[in-house]
Amino acid sequence: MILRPQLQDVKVIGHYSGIMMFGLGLLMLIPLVVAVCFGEIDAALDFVIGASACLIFGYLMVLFCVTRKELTWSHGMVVVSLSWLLAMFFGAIPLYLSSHWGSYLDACFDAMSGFATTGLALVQDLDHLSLAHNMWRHLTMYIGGQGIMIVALTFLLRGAESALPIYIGEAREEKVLPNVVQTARFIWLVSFVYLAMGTLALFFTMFSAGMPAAKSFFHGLWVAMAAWDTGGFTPQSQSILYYHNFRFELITIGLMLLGSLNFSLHYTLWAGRRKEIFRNIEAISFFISVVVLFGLTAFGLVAGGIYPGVENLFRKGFYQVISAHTGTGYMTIQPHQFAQHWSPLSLMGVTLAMAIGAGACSTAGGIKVLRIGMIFRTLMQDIKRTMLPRSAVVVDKIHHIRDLVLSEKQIRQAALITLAYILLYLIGTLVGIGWGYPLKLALFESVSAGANVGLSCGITDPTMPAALKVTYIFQMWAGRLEFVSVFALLGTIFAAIRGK
Amino acid sequence: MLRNIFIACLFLSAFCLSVQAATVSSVDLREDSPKYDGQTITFQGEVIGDIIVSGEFVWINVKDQTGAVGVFCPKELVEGIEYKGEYRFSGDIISVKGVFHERCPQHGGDTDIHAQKITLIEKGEQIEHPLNPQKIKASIILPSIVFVLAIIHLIVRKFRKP
Repeated sequence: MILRPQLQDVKVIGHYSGIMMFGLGLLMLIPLVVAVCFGEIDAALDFVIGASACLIFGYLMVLFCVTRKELTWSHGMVVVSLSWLLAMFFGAIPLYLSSHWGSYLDACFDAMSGFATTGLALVQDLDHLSLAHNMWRHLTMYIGGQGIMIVALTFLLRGAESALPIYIGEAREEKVLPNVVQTARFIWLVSFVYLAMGTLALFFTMFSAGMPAAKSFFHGLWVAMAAWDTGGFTPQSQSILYYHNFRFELITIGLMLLGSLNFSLHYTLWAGRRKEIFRNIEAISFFISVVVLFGLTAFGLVAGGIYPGVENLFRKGFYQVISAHTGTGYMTIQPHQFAQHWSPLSLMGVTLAMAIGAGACSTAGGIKVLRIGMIFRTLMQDIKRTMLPRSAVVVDKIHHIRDLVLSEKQIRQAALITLAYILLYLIGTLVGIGWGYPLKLALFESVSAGANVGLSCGITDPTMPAALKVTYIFQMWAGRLEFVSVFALLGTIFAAIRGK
Repeated sequence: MLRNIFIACLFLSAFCLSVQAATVSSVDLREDSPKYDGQTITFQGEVIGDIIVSGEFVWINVKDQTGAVGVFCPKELVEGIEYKGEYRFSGDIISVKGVFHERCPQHGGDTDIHAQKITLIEKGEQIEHPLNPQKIKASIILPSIVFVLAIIHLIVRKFRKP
């Protein structure tokens, strides 16, 4: 029998969702300050309205949803998935008010793309967008990459272990430190350190190339934010191609790779156990996958004579593969070139890299190399079992921070999530084909949305059908949260309708 | 007869020259790029962003209605550019004559134009961002509601049983 949620359950969900939107409203004060400092008064009004809407919602929820009931696992999951949708609706308000988005749906698309660190964009005339709105776009990536809930866990929620369901619900299976709030704070520490390093490196690169100091700083900050968080937004319409700078590209490769590492691995490396990177199943799987998929992509490009020369192959082939594999979506080519110039083999290499993704408990999306590594390891062990005597005992062991014996449950979970991702990719592909796009392009764009990558072959455009925009929004949302909390929300809605 | 052949040749060479330096849009460059690859073209659009220095040369990005292209040229050619498009300014509209590269071997495979001549078509200007009266109203009313709710919240918290 399905139990209908009680009023107290609704109040718990409402209370925490209100706190989350309160936090989002406070974050909008950052672009508001930028707008005021740089005399962008029109843009400042957009953020006054956006922040006020968030704070009103937050206050109303906190005032009306008073409850003493504790947050349970299912509440936490629902709070997470609901808060991400609310963040999209509220985060889109200042974007829409700027008149750079054709409709509120387009603004919602970009807001979800930002929070989910995807990078697909429907913004129009990006090159004339205000500093404040650009700051907000990149901030959504920075918040979303760490996790909207991590922000709340760090600054707004006082209870430590009671917040665990919220932390887990945001697709973070591992606690880096025993305490979930300490884990959230460590994630912020790592993020701030790499953001500062990335910003400085990019600032000096562009400042030395003649860009004014203030602009070099903002471009450095924004690109570092989106590269570390494997997001993919840029302040100019040509993505990384705008900068025409090899050193700039190399720095973004470094940031993308750092952002794609598991936070547990970061912690281990920071603790001085540097050999872990050579033993960790995730790091090894990622390395092998990059080598194989770049090999595939490069073979297609070289065979077609697309980018002759090592430098060209590196700056176009390798860059796109790393951008895809880390789930960033930065591009050093124009979107139509994927469709026009790249061979099906090269396109397949990039599509697979997007589908697989990078580290679990990182800012990257996709299936994750840890799951691929676990499934592959199990497959190898099963083959080994068939060749050994029946009495032989084969233990499925992996090394991830420490030696772990793989249980049936873990393998089943990894396989189920992998299957869910494949289905998610297929849904977007079918909708794309339904609207008349060729299979290879529909698959490419769908995987890019579902795996939160942001590479585009040209389908994502303000003129694309509304149904496809909604499909990609759903894919970005479900893909970022890795399904469990999305299923929890859908289950709660079903229970509210059909339960007793 | 010879005169007629001479006139025909003259027309033909004029036609060839016009094709060689045809004014093309970013849509043409996107959809028919092999045709223009390695050819001298003329591209017209707004200068956006900044002038990026690369040794003795510079990069500028020029955008027409639907897309932007990187333009590589000696520093002297961009001396006349005053306005670069951003939030506050519409950039100078320029006409760039140069060799188009679909995948430039000199610049890591970038799509670019190696400019030979840049002509200023129209000066850019400051963009006015007039304040929308509806936005001003909302920016007064909504924060006022927040203020009232904040006070109510404080009062409720004070009188709520622990």
